[in-house]
Amino acid sequence: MADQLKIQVKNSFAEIPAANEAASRWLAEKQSSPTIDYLANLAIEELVTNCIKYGYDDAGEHTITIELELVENELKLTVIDDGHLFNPLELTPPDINLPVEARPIGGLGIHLLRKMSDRMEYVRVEAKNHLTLWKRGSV
Amino acid sequence: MSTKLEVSDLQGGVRILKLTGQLDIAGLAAVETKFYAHCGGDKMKVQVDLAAVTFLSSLGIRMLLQALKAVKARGGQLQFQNPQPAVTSTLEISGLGQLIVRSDDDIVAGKLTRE
Repeated sequence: MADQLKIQVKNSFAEIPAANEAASRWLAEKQSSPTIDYLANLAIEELVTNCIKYGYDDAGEHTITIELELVENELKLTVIDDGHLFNPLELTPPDINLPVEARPIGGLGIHLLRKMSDRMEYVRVEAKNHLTLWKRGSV
Repeated sequence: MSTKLEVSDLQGGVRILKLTGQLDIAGLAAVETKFYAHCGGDKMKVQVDLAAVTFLSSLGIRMLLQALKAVKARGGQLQFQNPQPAVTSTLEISGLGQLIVRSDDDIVAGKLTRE
C-alpha cells in the first residue's frame, strides 16, 4: 500500500526549509534511505525555488503543492503549481565541460535532478504544472 | 544543524574555508557574504573543506562557482576538500569533480596546482 504525504507552501522562499523538514521527518518515519531523503530535499528546494523565481506573472500569493509517495522503497515526488505553462524538461542542459571562466552561473537545478533521479515527467493539467520525479532507494 | 564558515590560514599561503551544515537556500543566507569576502585576494590558494557539508543544492553550487571564478580571475586556485559521497556526486554532475581533493596531503605537498 502506498504511503503519501502532501505539503502545501506559499510562493515564498522562507517556506522551503519547513517543507524540507516535513518531508525528511516523514521519510525518516518510513525508514527511507538517505539517497531518497537527499533527493527529496533537493527536489523541493530546486523546484519550489524555480516556481517562485520564474513561475508567476503577478506578485500575488500562490500555493505550491508537494506530494510525496513511497511504494516499495521507490519515491514519487510531484510539485504542482498554478504558474504559467513551463516545462523545465525542455530546457537545454548546461554545458558543464566549458572552462570555469566561461561557465554560466545558474541553470543547474533541473540538470541535477535529471541526473540524480531515475526519471522525470512533466504534464499540464487544469492550468497547473505537474513535475514528477521517481527515485528508487538503495536496499 | 546551522550552516557555519570557519576560516584558517596555513603556511604557504593556503587558506582553508571550512563549511559546516547545509548549503541550501537557508544555509547560504548565513555564510554567503562572508565566504565571498574570504576569496577576494590576489593569487590565493583556497581549499574549501566540505567534509562537514551534508547537503548541496544548485544555489550552493552557484556560490562555489562564483568564488572559483573570482579566485581564478585574480591568479589563484581553489579546490574542494573531502566532500561526502552525496556532495561529491552533486559536484561531479555539475562538472566540478576535477577540483575535488581527498586529504590534507595535497595541501602539505603543495599539489594545489590542478586545473
